[in-house]
Amino acid sequence: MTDTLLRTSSLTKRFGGLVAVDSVDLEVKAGEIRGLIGPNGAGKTTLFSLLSGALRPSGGRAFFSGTEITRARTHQIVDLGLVRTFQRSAVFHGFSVFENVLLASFRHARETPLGILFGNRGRTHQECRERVHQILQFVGLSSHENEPSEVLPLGHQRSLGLAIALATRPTLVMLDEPAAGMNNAESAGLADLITRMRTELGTTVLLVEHDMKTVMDVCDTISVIDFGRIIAEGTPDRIANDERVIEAYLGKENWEEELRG
Amino acid sequence: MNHQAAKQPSQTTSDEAAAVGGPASRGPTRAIISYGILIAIIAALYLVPGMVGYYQVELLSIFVLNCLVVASYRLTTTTGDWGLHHIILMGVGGYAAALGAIHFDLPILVTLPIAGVIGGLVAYIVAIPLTRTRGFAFFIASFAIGEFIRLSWLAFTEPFGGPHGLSGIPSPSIFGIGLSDPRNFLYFMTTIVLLCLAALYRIDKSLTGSAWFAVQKDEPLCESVGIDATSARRWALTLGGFFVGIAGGLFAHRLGAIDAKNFQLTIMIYLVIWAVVGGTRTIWGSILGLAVMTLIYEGTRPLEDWRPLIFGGVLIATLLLLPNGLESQVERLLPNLRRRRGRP
Ligand SMILES: Nc1ncnc2c1ncn2[C@@H]1O[C@H](COP(=O)(O)OP(=O)(O)O)[C@@H](O)[C@H]1O
Ligand SMILES: [Mg+2]
Repeated sequence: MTDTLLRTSSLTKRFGGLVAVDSVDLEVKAGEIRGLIGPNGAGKTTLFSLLSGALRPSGGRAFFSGTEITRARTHQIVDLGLVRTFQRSAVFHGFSVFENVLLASFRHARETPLGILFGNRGRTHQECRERVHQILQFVGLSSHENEPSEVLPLGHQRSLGLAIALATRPTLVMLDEPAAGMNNAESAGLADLITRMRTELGTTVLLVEHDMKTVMDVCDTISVIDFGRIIAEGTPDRIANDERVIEAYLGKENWEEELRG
Repeated sequence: MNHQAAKQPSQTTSDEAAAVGGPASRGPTRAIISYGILIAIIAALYLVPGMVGYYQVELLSIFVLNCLVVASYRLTTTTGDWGLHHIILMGVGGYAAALGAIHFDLPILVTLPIAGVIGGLVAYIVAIPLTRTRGFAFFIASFAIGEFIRLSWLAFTEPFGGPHGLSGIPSPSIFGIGLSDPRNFLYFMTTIVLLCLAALYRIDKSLTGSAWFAVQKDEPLCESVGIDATSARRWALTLGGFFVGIAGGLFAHRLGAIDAKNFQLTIMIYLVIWAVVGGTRTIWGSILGLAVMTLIYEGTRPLEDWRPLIFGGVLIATLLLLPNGLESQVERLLPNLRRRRGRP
């Protein structure tokens, strides 16, 4: 038996008349790599925003590690171990790559007033810096540590976004289209990275991605969302041949086109 | 042991370097130039008062005190909050020190920390509603709260002395040395201000200071990595209040009197101009702005009626030509100073 890490019940978000997320019941187990796919505008990003506390739900509830997070604030949710990345490239401008990841470890560095005043960084701080090096090595940015983040190529910025999320030491990472802006080689590396996140860091993953090859390769289970509703759930093989999914992606031809990438 | 070995590379750059500064962010030239300038300025601050007349001592005193005022204000702007109540918090510290000295005969080394703590406490209390706002709303709301406090000084004769304020603050001394002599007071004040600036510098270089700066740059991203942006803003405002509270205490003791007129909006506007003209990326930028505007202020004594116009003109010119303040130009002169925060 595995534990349920993330659970939502009837989670709903309305924007005026539009129901962007419609009574979603989702359950993600610890250790799972779960895909979340659906056409543009299906409500995937909105669901992430609800779960990360960036948006308030219009109805329903959400739980993480047994704690209700429906109305929690973003930083509280991060403290519980649930973190998201952004669809846009989101890095701290004006800071180097290393600084970006160190900032994301802020909560773990535990700076004390005396440490600040007398420059005594203490062991936790040193360990944090060590971890930053490790995380950058993990996502393959070691050689760019001292570059300003805003001049990195887009693909590297996406990796940095991932490194920033990992620096918070999450138990579950929600990745919002991590391959967007990456070239073919980079997105192939990404699939490998996501599997290694589970095996080496023990992280559970909820993955939103348009690149179906990546999704089909790395996910244990896939949930399909269309017009805010979960319309299908199952293994990659089952989802690839599911009638409702084919319909959501406007017919067999379109869907097979998506699968080929 | 493994841990020890791993520490080596970062230690070469560590200590002085920014908490988040990478190894390449400074060269030896930069360090030599910066330390040289710093030591020269500190030496000048202690040597010059002995060589000039009382009028210059007076000017220098105002300048040294304003260094702390503008540097503490700059701290509150690092999270992106531009308030109009900072000068009021200086008043809060000033009144606290004055009341402590008048009614309880407390020595200056006690009234100053009290002034800081009360300044920080009031700053924290007003930050609770203020941090629910951002940008223009914050600007206006901070003005309203500041006016409320200022008007209460005017309204209450007990204990604030109403429009006349408080006077007859006993002249301070430390370790038996009287500070009623302006020159002695300046030496004392310079020491306190330098200690406060050192603390402000350490805060700026800490990871916490960097996190505050990140809140200004990208608040949603900060929240998404677990940095509590609201709490960061409150802490920055509170510490700003603490340091300017100390400045208020120094102000009250120096003049032996204090009243609400000392903390009017006009002075607050000057404060904003110093910070904008110098730039707020570094402490030194804001102090540079103060220095330049003080020179302009002194240089325009014959044109007193035109001053608001001249200051307004300088402000507009800075906003148009140097949106990052004078400090951005200093960085161009000293190439090694470049990079780290702000534009590449
Ligand atoms: N802040 C918002 N205000 C109004 N409508 C929004 C907002 N955010 C998203 N939407 C709408 O909600 C729907 C779902 O959007 P989104 O979650 O971004 O889809 P996806 O990420 O699956 O492509 C879209 O129709 C979008 O236009
Ligand atoms: Mg999206």
